[in-house]
Amino acid sequence: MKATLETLLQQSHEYGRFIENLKASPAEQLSKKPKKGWSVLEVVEHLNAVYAIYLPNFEKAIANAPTNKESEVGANYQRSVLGRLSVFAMKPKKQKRQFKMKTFDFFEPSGKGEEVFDQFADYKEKFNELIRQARSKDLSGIKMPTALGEKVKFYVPECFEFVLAHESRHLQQIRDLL
Amino acid sequence: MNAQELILQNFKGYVQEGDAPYEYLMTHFCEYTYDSRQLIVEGGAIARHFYFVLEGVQAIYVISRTGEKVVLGFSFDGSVSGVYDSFIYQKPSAYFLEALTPSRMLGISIDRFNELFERFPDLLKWRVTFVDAIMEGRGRREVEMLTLSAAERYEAFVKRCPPELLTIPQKYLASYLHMKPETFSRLRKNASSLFS
Repeated sequence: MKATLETLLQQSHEYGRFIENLKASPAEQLSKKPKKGWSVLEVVEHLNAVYAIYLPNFEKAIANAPTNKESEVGANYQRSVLGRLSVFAMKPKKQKRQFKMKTFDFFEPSGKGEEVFDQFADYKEKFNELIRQARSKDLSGIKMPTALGEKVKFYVPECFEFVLAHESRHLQQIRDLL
Repeated sequence: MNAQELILQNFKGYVQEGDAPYEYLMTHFCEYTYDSRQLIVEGGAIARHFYFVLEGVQAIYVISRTGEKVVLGFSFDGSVSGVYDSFIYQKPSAYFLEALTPSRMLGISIDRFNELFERFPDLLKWRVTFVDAIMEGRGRREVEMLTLSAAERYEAFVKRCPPELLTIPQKYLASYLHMKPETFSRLRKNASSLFS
C-alpha cells in the first residue's frame, strides 16, 4: 500500500478513533502494568510525548513551505533512505512488532491520570490539521528534524508516515495488553 | 443559484414556499464554503452533512493500493453531494469527498435530517425517489464500465455530463471513466468539435 497525504490522514483518523475508544475501558485495565513494560495509559502518554516533540517541527517546516494549490503530493513523494528504512522498521508486521527497541530516555512516561486522553485528542487534531495544510504546500526538498538524533532529518510526508508507523506499533502494543 | 431556489428545485412537488417543511429545510440547511482542493469528507472520518451544491464541482474518490485517486463520481451546481453511507450510519467514511473548484454547499446534519422525516413523513417519498435515481445511475454506470470500450465510455459520458464538469482537471474525468489521462486526452481531441 503506497501512502499519500490522504491515506495518511485516513490512517490517522483510524488510530485516533482506536485511542478514543479506549476511554470506555475500565480505569484499572488502563493503568494495569504488565510484568514488563508500560500500561495502556503509559503508552498513550508516550504517544503524547512524541507529538510534543514532532508537532512544532512539522509546524515550522510547513509554515516555511511555499503555498502551491496546484501541486499534489501523490504516492511518489520524496523519501530518504533512512526515512524509508525507519518507516519499514516501525510498521508492525502481521500483528507483531518487529525489531523491538528501547525508547529514548526523554520519552519515558510518568503514568498519570485521564487527562492523557484529552491531551492525545488535542495533539491528534493538530497533527491532522498539519496534514491538511501540507496538501496545499509545495514540500519538495524540505526536510525536518526528527527525534532520532541531530543529523537524522526526514522529508515532511515521510515524517508523517514515520510518526504514524510509530503510532501503529504502539496500537499493537495496546492490543496485546488488552 | 441561491439557497431558496436550490431547495425549491430539489424538493419540487414536495414542498412549497412558505409551508412548514420548506421553513424547516430553510432553517436547517446551512451554507458551507470550501476552497478548491479542500477535503469536504476525509477518509476515516465521519461525514457530518448531507449537501446540495450551490456552486462548484466536487469529486468522490478512494485511493488505490498504488496511491492513485480512483474517482467514483462527481457533484456539481444544483446536485446533491456528500458521502451517503458514512452520513446515514455515522460510520467512518471509506471515501474522500474533495472540492475541485471553490464550492458553496448547503448542508444538513444527521440529527436534523432524521428529524425532517419524522416531522414530515410525506417527504419520505422524496427520499425514496432520490435513492431510486441513485440506484438507476449506479446500475447504468456499472454496465458502461463493464461492457463499453474506452471510446464508448467517453461518448456516453459526454452526452450526459453537465458543462461544469468540462472545467475540472482531465485526470479526474479520466479516472472516473477508468482510462489513462492520455487516452482521455486523445478521445477529447478527436471529438473536439463537441466542445467548440
